[in-house]
Amino acid sequence: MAFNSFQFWLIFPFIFGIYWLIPIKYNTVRKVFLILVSYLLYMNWKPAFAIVLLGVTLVTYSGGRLLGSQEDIKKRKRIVWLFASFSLLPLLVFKYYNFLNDSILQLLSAIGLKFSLPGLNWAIPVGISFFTFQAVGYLLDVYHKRVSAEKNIIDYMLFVSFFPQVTSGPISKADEFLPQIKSPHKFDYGQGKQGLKYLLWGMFIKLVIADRLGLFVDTVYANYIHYNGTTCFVASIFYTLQIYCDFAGYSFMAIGIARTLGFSLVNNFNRPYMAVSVTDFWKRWHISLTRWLTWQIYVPLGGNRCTKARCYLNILITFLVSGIWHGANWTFVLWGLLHGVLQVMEKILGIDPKGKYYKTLETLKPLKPLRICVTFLLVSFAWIFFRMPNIEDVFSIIGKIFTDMGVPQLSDMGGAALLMLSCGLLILCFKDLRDEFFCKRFMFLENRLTQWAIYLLLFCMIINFGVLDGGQFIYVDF
Amino acid sequence: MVDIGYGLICNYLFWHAHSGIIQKRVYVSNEVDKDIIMFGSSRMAHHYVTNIIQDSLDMTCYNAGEDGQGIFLSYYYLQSLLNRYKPKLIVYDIYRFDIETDDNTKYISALKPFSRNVAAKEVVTSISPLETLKLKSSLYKYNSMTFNILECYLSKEKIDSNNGFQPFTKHFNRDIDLLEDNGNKKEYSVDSLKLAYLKKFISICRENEIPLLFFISPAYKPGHAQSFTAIKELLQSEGVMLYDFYEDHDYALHKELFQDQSHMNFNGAVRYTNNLIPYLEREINYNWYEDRSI
Repeated sequence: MAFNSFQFWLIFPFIFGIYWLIPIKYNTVRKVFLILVSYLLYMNWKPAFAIVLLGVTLVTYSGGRLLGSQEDIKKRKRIVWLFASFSLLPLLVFKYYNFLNDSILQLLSAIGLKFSLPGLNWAIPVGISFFTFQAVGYLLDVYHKRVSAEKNIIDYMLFVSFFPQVTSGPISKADEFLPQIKSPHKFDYGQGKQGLKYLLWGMFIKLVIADRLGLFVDTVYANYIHYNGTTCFVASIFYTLQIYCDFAGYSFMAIGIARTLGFSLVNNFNRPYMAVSVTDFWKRWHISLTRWLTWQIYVPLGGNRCTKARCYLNILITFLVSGIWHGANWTFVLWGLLHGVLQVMEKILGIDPKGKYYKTLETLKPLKPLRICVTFLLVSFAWIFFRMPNIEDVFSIIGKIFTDMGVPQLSDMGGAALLMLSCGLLILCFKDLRDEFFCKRFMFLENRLTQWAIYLLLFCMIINFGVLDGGQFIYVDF
Repeated sequence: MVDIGYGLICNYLFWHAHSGIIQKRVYVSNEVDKDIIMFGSSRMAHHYVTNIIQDSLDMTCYNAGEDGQGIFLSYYYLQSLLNRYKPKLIVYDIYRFDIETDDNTKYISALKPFSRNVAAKEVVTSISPLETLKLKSSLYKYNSMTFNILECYLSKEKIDSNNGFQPFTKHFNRDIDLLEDNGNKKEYSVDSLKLAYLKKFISICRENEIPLLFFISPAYKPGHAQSFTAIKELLQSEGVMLYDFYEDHDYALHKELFQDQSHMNFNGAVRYTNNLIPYLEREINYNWYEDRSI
């Protein structure tokens, strides 16, 4: 059940109420309640999906317990490989089987071998990429002895299935989330208020901005042949904003809901389009995934504690995995590799945050807007790979952008929609710019009355400007 | 209080709109009293030249077709106008999405402001039962319409100058041959709710003894439209006349007649409407309910 659905908001007050009514001394009952709610909400997508969620939970729990009781290095390695493989199996089968099957068949066909395996027509369990990585991340942390094996099955089940994060993240680390699950906590008004603020902001950028942008982007990208290159370029910029507002909106809502229940989830977005380099972008975008990839892929490969060439290779491999994680299509693979290549180039040029010219660049403040714009354009360009269904369309649209200039055809959006979108984007730009560069200015906005006026304005804009019919999170398909 | 205040203002502006789509909806809902009423989607709005029909048949005519709309809005309009009078003929331009499954919630927007009407409420709640609760909020009722309402209220231009017909006069400057085939490539399924409202629509016309005609207007590159088979079977079983021009060679692949793959330009609409006149004449002169067994 999506957080922007009316049905969820009819149910959530009851979840909130019942949770906090359970006395603190019955913390286990609270946890069982949250597990039940999480599974019921998850099963609302499709009941059978819960079997996959439960399966991954039990496999990684068992693997963790075995690792916890085993000291022999070789045996530990065998255990982690076995259980990680089993845990990743559903992800590989549901999400990647058809892609691998088709790719292998095409390759064999290209060399004259005709061979066919049946395709799978199974729906992908919602959020499988997220909860699998979270569970496998725990297993690997136990293997590397970053955390001790969790013995309490209730705590572990809640860790994997916690409903605010199970479908679209953030991907939590065991050492930051499990302790919160274990410790009973009282209702904290301040934390609850923070949660509601995150919730409001998340819904605003999702419903008012992301979904509104999506109406135009979908129209142009589905029929890009109709439109000139400039319109396609505008659509690609809109998509850049759409995916940020969609994913960050969801994340903020997840964080907000978790806060109202007394849990702190990692902040997944830190104004990514204010990044001064692609490397900086990945410290601000989908922070929980970057963190997972850094600790579970990049560092074990050697990280940057090796030769330069090896370091560059490690970056490419890490972002190859990132691309593959995002989707079963060569477009995602290329998208990931493109980000890897851009970061390697930054390292070579010495302009990444640890590069020799970075500090010099930082002192040249007038250059900062240019660096931000260049990074924004590079990331926007890469998003084209992410969005298009196949490589042919990617290069067709890129070709159009550079060769078919003209007046942007925004009439398909409608004047009213453009106005609503502009209002939303103005608010977003103001907030992000203020938070990034002017956090000590416009202090009148912190005034209590002003704050409540802002909350009321955002709420009214959500109800009146938001796309309330049929919008869905982009990242919920992952 | 904000919600109530907003609702009062929007309500007034909505029902007193001077132009645009809002004015058209209010007009069809509350005022239209023409002999011939035509319902449907954008293909109705852009393909049927009301002035030609009026002049040829010496009857008043109104084109209530609207972009992105179909059977749900048409059903509400029908119920609404029958409270005031009985038209002499109803024409419906039917298309694939009048029967194919898609996200029905997108059709709710147009109906929400009319939700006090029993028929509109019936449609809205059958699409989404929770709408009754949501429609208590005026901010929600006029969701995404604030600027439209303001524009339609403040503008002096009236859409009614062509009696609802909306000609495409801009030349489509893209190569229409590059466009995908218009036929159904994906598998489709019949939407049971749309089917139910289509049957209700037909049934209401029958009960009120209003002649009813269905047309499938032309397309540039028709392809094979599988869901039209289901439409034809349905209309045949209901004993309703359907005239299918979808793959008519007088129109298909004639670039000069089309705005895009699905919509004719003004030249195409004029040619098509002139060709329809004999069918409309025959239907008006036919003693519909005595001569045709249902």
